[in-house]
Amino acid sequence: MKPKDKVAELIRKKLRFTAGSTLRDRFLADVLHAHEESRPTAPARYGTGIGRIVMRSPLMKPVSVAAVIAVAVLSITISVKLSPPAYALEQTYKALLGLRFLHIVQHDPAGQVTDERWIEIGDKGYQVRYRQDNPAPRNFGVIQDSTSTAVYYHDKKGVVVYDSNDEQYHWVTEPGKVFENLLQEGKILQENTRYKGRRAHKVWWPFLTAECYIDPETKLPMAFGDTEFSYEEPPAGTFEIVIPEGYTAIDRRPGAASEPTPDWLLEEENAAKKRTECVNRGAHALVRGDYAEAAVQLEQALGNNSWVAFWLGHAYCGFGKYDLAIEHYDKLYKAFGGSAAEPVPYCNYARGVAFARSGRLEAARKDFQACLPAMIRTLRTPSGGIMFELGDNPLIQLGAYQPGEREIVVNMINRLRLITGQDFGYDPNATDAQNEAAISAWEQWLKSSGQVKFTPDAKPLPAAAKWVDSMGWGRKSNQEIAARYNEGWLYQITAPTTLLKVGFALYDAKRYDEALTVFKKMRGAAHGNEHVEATALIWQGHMLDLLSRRNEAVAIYQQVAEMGLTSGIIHAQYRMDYSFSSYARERIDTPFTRIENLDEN
Amino acid sequence: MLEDELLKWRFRRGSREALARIYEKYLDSMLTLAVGLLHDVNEAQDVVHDVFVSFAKSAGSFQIRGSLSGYLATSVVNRIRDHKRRLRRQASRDAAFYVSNESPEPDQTVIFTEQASRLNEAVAQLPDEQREVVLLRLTAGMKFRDIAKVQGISTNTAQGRYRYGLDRLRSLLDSEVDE
Repeated sequence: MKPKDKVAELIRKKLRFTAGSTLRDRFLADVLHAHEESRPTAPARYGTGIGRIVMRSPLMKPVSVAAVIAVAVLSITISVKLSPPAYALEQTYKALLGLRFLHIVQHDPAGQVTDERWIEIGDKGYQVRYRQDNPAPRNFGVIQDSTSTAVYYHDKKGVVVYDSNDEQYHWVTEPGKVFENLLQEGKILQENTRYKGRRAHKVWWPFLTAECYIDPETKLPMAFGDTEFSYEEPPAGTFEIVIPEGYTAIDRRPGAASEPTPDWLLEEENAAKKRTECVNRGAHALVRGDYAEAAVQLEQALGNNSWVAFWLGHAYCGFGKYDLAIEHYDKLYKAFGGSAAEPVPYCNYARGVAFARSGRLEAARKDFQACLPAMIRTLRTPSGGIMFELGDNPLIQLGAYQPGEREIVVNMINRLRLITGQDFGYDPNATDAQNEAAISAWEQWLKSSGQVKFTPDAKPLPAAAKWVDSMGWGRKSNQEIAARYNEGWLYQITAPTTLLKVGFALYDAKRYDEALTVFKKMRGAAHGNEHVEATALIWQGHMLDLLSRRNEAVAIYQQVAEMGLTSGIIHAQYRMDYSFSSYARERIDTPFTRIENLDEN
Repeated sequence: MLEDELLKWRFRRGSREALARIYEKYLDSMLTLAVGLLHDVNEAQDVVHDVFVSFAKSAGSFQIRGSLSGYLATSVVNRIRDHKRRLRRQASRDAAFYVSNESPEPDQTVIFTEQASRLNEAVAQLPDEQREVVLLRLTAGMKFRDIAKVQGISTNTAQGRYRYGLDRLRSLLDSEVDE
């Protein structure tokens, strides 16, 4: 190789600056936020990931939105103290795993079918073929085979055919994940009860935020709310794309002859585009508390998806228009099949709050009583609180926010305090074991009394992680963080960068023992990220040096030296920049001596 | 390249996933390019941040015929030129490498190797025009024809600057190249 080529090769391969995870995440958040704020087109409908779910009708909304969060919550392990039942959720899970077809039918209160889906499930739990039919008044349909997606607009006698990579419809992207959730977090509520005259087991299915009925013979789910499941093979031709006689076909597949788009489709697409823009603007306005603006935007977004009406309810509630709020909460409640017998807990809760704030306490009491059991169950099965979170924060649906399990529980406790006036001492900073008494007390209270009392002045529980993240890295911020720090934060804070900031705050305050504990926790939160691990170890070594535990410090530095990392990190507030392993080798020879934080805020 | 064509197409259709993938794919190379051109990690971060945010906002009007990498690299170069013009109007400042006293968030980290640091020091010694060509060619993978357009010169001139740049780097990195 010529010397010049060698230089080029060297630069190409070795000149590389890599954004650290904090920087990467922060930039990405800004980039996605900018995208959301300015996005002129409908959300992407491409790909097979769990976050890419097209929401077109009420039936799929509750579960599809939950699917976005499922990845984060499926790993939660819940210990439910139950006496061993004759029926076990595992039986249902095993039965679900063998399924090839899923048939889902939703009815209106009069018993008419409003939504019907056929889904073929592949080996890995993903949907492989799909059909959806919505009779009048919607007059809409979809057939998706392995290569194409046909969207039927029956009122217009038109069919638009897309490449299936470009346009996808789902009930949930991964039915397998939904099944797994039942096994991991579900709870048997009642064995051998009845569903529409048939014997059934009643179970709590957190992912669906619903009480579902299981067929005791097949062990398969029969229904939740007014939505029924069956598992038969569909009739021949169910997944076959056919252009009905008299229909106009618009082929949008790559390579298809370019034809002018008919006016009705242009109108449909433009209206959909405008509604999407309004959802984005309305969602952000709602989150920042600009209720008037949120109401204006969300009014124009109605029809985009059923949750828009719910958020519009929040906007109206926010500036005291309680009747309008109740009217809009009712829309989602009805769309999701709510009734006195089948509550939709998050709708009952929101509507109850609007009733209570408008002084109609008896109506509020009924709604609160209806949603209480689901709310209290969420304290042990956080994924059951997802719909409450989604209802309160539309940014979740936009993919811009994802609550953690502790956050879901804390938010649920705050809701419970608001509608019951009770406080059983749940501490956001305590361990799950320490909070066991509080959760048991909530459960006991529901069994023994369960009397609600709207308490608008109930003080919300604090959330430390959010507050720490909002602070800077300089001296003043660190002083505030150290002043507020308590050991409970170790249970509440799990993000490595947040722990690093807390550790630095305690180091600045010369509370080296506590800082050491925080850096140990940070190492535990590294989850295989060697830069996080090395940083945590090096600062453990620093703390051990400052605590005059030199032998332990050397052993820690040795670990980093042996990691062989040539990459480094910058702590500009201390004017430090170092490569991990070479710095660790220096510290083996020379103990760390204290350096000061040189940034003010 | 096929993946990039697909990403461009999906991004134009408003896909968040495509945007996130483009970001993941090109963040580090754009950061490397910006650090090389600016010789200041913190300023480079700002530039790259602004390029991607601006790119994200462009989804509705996004139209490019060339490569994604080239488009982003050209955006980085243009922003840095603007940035330098602004800096020239301000009082000169100490361009501390790696650590900037002005960083509003000091713990936003950039990971680099010692060798990368040495190479960057060498690249920093090239004249601006040569440095730009070398980095656009080697970190962003741009064609000379496209680099020439960015610099407003002929393709031959771009190739000449590249050759001179590599010659100079070879002498600066003699021991490293012979390893």
